[in-house]
Amino acid sequence: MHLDDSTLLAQFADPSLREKAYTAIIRKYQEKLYWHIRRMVVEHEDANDVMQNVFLKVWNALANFREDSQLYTWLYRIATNESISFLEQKKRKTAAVSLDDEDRSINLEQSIRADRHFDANKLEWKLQLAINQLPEKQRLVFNLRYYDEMPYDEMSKMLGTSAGALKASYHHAAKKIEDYILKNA
Amino acid sequence: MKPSADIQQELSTVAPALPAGLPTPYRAPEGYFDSFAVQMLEQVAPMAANARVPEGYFESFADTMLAKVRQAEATAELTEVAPTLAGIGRQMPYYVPAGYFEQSLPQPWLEQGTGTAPVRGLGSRRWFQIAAAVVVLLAAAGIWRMAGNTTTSPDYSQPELAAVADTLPIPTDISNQLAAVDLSTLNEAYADAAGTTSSNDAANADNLNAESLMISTDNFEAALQNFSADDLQEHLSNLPSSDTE
Repeated sequence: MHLDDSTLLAQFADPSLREKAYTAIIRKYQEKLYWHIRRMVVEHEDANDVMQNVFLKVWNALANFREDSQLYTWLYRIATNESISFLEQKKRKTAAVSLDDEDRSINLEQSIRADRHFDANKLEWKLQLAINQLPEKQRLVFNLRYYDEMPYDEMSKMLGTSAGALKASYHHAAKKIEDYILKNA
Repeated sequence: MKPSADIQQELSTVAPALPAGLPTPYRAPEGYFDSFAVQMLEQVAPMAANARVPEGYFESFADTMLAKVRQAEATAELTEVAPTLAGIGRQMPYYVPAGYFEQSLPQPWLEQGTGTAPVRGLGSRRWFQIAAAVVVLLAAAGIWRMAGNTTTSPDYSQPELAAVADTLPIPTDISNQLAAVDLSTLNEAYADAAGTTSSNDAANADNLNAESLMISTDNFEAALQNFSADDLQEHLSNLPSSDTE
């Protein structure tokens, strides 16, 4: 059973318990963060790279974490920022040079189709293809709401965007995805 | 996982053809989540460990370095003179019974004080052999002295006698006879061979060394070559046994 966040933070503040608390925090949140990151960057190797960057930052910054926000919101924010940074870097490294979302989404679509478990006939894979047609912000909001069921106010704290704007973004994204799935049924 | 009601309701309003709760189709490598925390800790732990020094590190550092230097010198020397040999591991192939080195060795009989304990009571064949060798040495020294040799030499301590004993075969019949000889007899034999009559020496086991024998190894061994087992046995037969005291 996982310890509550306040206990973990108290342990992390104690140098003699820091490594133990760090390990416990990873074990508590690693799967949620991994899947959040994986949905953004698609490939496991990339997700693993981002995961490591995230938890290195956690190690260095957790001592300064202020408990005015929830730990998992803070972790999600780091994971989101690291995922976006990673995609930006990857985009810059691509031979296509183009920075627009269309080229990037095509790149991610190739990664999705290259997955050894990919099955074009399964709806969950079609959903992934549809999600990756979206602009980055809509994709992020859709994933957080659809998969993680994150409330808008929490999402608002995490992304620094109003809950109303996030709701609108999610609705736009859902309609686009529905259209994509209907077209590719 | 079943989606929450409000997620389903919201989605059915804005995109009714999009089912809620579809799973993420990606898969993580097997065991990834089991090992990830440990991998991360290995990455960050060195940062935390930089300020730590293992317990006892400085106490043993000099010895450790000295051992390494000696090993390196020995290896370099061997590599120079016999490269093939240097490549062979130094692990001894011989088998040692389990727990052999943990077993306590018998108390050395020299430390047992009064010398009243009979030799036959000692259970260790090793100590019996040492005792036998000492008597043989003393007996031979007595004969050698009777022959007029007076060469002096460095003192012989009990370990040195034991080392000599290791190199001397003890005839079976002499060994059997020695079983009947006790500590005081050995001491008397020593005193006799050394030309002294001190009964205190016989009682003081610590004095049972060859410090008064004044013999040289080379001369003594050469002299010993002149005596057969029969000669030694005859001399031993003149020693009193514990039964006669």
